[in-house]
Amino acid sequence: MKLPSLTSRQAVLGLRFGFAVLAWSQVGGHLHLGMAQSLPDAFIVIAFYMAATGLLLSWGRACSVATGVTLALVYHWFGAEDGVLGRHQVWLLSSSLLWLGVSPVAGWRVPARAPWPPRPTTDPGLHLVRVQLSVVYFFGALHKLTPAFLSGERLEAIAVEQWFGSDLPGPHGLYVAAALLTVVAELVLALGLWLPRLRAPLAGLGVALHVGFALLLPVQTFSVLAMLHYLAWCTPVARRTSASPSTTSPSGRLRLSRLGS
Amino acid sequence: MLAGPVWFVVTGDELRWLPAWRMFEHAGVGVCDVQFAAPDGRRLDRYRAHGVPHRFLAPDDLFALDDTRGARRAARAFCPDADRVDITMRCAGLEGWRARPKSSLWCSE
Repeated sequence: MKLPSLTSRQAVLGLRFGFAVLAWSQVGGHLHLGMAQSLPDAFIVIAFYMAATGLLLSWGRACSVATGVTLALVYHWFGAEDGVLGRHQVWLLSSSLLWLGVSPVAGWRVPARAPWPPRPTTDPGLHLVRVQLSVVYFFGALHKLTPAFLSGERLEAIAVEQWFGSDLPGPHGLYVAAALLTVVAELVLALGLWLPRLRAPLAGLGVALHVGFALLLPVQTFSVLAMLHYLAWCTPVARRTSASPSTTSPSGRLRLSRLGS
Repeated sequence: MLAGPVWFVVTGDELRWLPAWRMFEHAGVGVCDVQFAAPDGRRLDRYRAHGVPHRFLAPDDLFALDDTRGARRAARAFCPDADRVDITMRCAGLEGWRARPKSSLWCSE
């Protein structure tokens, strides 16, 4: 099983474009000038849409940072009043856009420059995006290590709210099993994606998990956002070795540990 | 990236400016699981009593009950066939289910 192999540039640009679309769709409809009660309100609204439009069209580094900063402002300024704008996926989107600002990839209009001398580095922006996803999974699992969740009761309540109404069917053990599986899956994804041999199957598991969440629960935006983060894993990850004759082929191309290999 | 969740693990408080990645923690909080029973212990079907062919076609105030008043209102539908309806309910909080005291609706009330 292999993951698609992208260049860092393809992954960064793909992520920025995907995040731009999500920024528009998540915030759009909840943020407009009509809700501006003061000058700072209006400034944040205008700044967000300018930055997000720039990101949508240029997929550029500066627009990535600007959209990340303005989304953080939106989250804190309007999030307390509008539940959608205060959701954690807005903050996750903001963080990951900021991390992509660290990437040396400028935008789709600026051609990629080959580094000289070539060195086995991974894109720092993509690396931060990978760490971000692991942090979300790890602490997501850690906060579920409570008697309420592990006993299946929290999942039962969600099933009542989303699926069955106030007449809960099914054996209690089913909810306990689902709770345990959720925690284990999140922990395995948080740590296992860093292991090259496990990366491809775990990416498949992660995508399946998020599609499952989207089918069963109203968490579509977060699911898409998390799945987009997997693009960061579809690129070569450099080993921690310095360039040396043993790591450099005669043609000067570096050996990289390709995903899934 | 780490400051918010680590702060929460250490102190138990979530910083407004740095989320702790407690995903969907409040989902399902407030809803109640309610059972209606006849005096002989037989479970009563609320949807049939209300003339609703399937739970997904039920109006919101019958589908998702979140307080005792709503449960008693829903129980009224059984009254043509019963003198008394026993109501058992538990409501969801962050710490799991909280059982509410058992109550009965007397149809003569």
